[in-house]
Amino acid sequence: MSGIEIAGLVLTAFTSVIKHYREGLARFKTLINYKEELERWIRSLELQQVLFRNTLGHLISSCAKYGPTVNQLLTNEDSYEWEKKWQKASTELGPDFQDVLFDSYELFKRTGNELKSTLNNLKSFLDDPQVYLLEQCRSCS
Amino acid sequence: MQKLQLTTLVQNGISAWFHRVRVSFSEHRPKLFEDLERENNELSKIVMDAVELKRYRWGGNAAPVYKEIRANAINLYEAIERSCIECQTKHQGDPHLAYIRLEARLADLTSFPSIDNERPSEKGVHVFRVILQKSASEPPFSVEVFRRNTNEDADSISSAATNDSDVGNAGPAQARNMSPRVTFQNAQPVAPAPNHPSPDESNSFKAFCPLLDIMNTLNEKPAEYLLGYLLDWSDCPHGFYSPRSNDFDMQSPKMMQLSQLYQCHGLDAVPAPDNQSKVLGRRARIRLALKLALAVLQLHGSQWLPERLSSEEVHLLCCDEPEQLQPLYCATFTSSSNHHATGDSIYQLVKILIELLNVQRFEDIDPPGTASGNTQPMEEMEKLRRLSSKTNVWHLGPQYKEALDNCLDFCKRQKSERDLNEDKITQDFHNDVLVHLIQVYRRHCSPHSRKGKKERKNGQEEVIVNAVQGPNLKKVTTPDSANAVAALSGAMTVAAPAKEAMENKITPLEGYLRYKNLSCLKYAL
Repeated sequence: MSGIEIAGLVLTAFTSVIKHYREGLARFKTLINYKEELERWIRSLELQQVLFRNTLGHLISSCAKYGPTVNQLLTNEDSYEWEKKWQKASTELGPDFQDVLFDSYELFKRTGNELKSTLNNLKSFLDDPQVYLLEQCRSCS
Repeated sequence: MQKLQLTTLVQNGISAWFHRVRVSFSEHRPKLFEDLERENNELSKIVMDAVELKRYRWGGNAAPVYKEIRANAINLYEAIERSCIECQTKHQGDPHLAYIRLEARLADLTSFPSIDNERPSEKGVHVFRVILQKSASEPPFSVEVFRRNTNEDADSISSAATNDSDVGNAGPAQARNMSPRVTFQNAQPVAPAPNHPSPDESNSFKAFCPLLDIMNTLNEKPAEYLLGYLLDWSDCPHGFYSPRSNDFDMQSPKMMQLSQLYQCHGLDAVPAPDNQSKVLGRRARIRLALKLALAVLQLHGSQWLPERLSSEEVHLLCCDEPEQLQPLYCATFTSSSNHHATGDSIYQLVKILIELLNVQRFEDIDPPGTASGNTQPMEEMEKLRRLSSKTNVWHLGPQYKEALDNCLDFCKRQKSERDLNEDKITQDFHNDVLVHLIQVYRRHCSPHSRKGKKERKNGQEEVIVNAVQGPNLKKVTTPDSANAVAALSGAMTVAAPAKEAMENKITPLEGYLRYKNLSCLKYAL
């Protein structure tokens, strides 16, 4: 998998996790102060998403062909149009990514993969928090 | 009572459970998010550093290369000039003309079969395309000129020449004595390429003028071989070579001024002298801009550059593909020629870059009669700045705009052509202007661009060199175009043998560029 493909997956993972957390509020309603806690989670996630977008925007801007359309590429990541756009950009931006990252390209891919798996963990944690939390409680006691 | 106790116990239990859950939530959060933050920060650092470094990586150390090309260009000019003037004085003929392509290309010596047989070099040579014309009424001929730099080479060529009884002058001793005489000599041994006849030795070598010699030889045998050497006063012979693949019709190249192309209607079709419709499209303009910027870097201080670089002075060699337009400068050699460069090529370059952006002559964009048409340097700069920010500015992309702005900054900082003699300024100009233009060129004319995957040229498929990919440098050729080479549509045509390219071997030139960390110059040269 190329660097740009990994970056695209991370972008969608961020969007999906945040969306998941917002929609998954009902699951937390049994908890005291769940809103406060969950909002803090979502805020942290959004902050990380913005940081990642900025980083990616910087990288894409240095591949000047997509300079003017960076905004289009980094918004509405959950739409079908975005997916098409990103696929098209992937084929054309792929070599440019390698060109810019040069020696760091492999490292970029590796770190991107780690980021993706962390986001997946966060998502799966929310999918069944009760099981997850009970396991945690059991381990606490 | 028991019920109450039970209720209390249950309530305590529930609250304890909730408490545990909350604690575990809070405890767990930092761990998951710490990972996320750490990885995100790492990624950010990797990208920021790489983007920052990219500028320097692309820049390489280009200044010495430009210096070498400039020295060669000056030397070539002097050699041809001396020869032409001597000829005219003797024969009272019309002034000779020579057009030089406004940039040199770096060629692999393996593309010169006759030289390759003698001594293959690991280093590329800088080749100038020159179009020679005895007079304005005579047909022009195209040759490529390269210079062999080592004394050893000069000796071998000169000693070979002395074996020819017809030549008899300008032997090695004479060449080493810094003789000002410029003599066209038969290159011996001449090893013609397969399927091409060898040059007729009885032909032309008694003639005095090298231009006549070359043209006579071309008339006789317009084929692929080394025509001969032009020995000059600096002990370094110039080899004249009839190129393997002409990018135009050698017998009747058609010239036109750049300003002529601006005429008619804006961005598209304009009539050419041959009454064929020519399009000065985006790619053609980007290509011209790159070549002109290269010309300033490579030829500044030499007399090849016009006194005032302008669209009237830049000639274009018309060909079927508008994107293959070659910018040329015509030098007329007369005994009274007294050419002095004005030293404002960078300023003139800005004007041409603006012209190419608007596809209009500068005078038409900003007529002299308007209020802004004054000549105060600072106001002039401001005018240029204003014009460069006008409409159409994004038409050639943000990188083009950046190159233009940086070029303007050079002018503003009072950096003139003479300052380019300093390595640091040359390097800065390369990094700030050339690199951006190269990137624009790559974007629109490289295989990754929509239109530029394959370009047709003289019926042969020519593949444009892929982007400088660093580790992927080997991927520059594809099997179907292996013989057509890693080429930058004329700016850089490296003839690599088909077999070698098929096997993805690195050519000596690529090795040299890699070694010098000058991969980017594959585009520039």
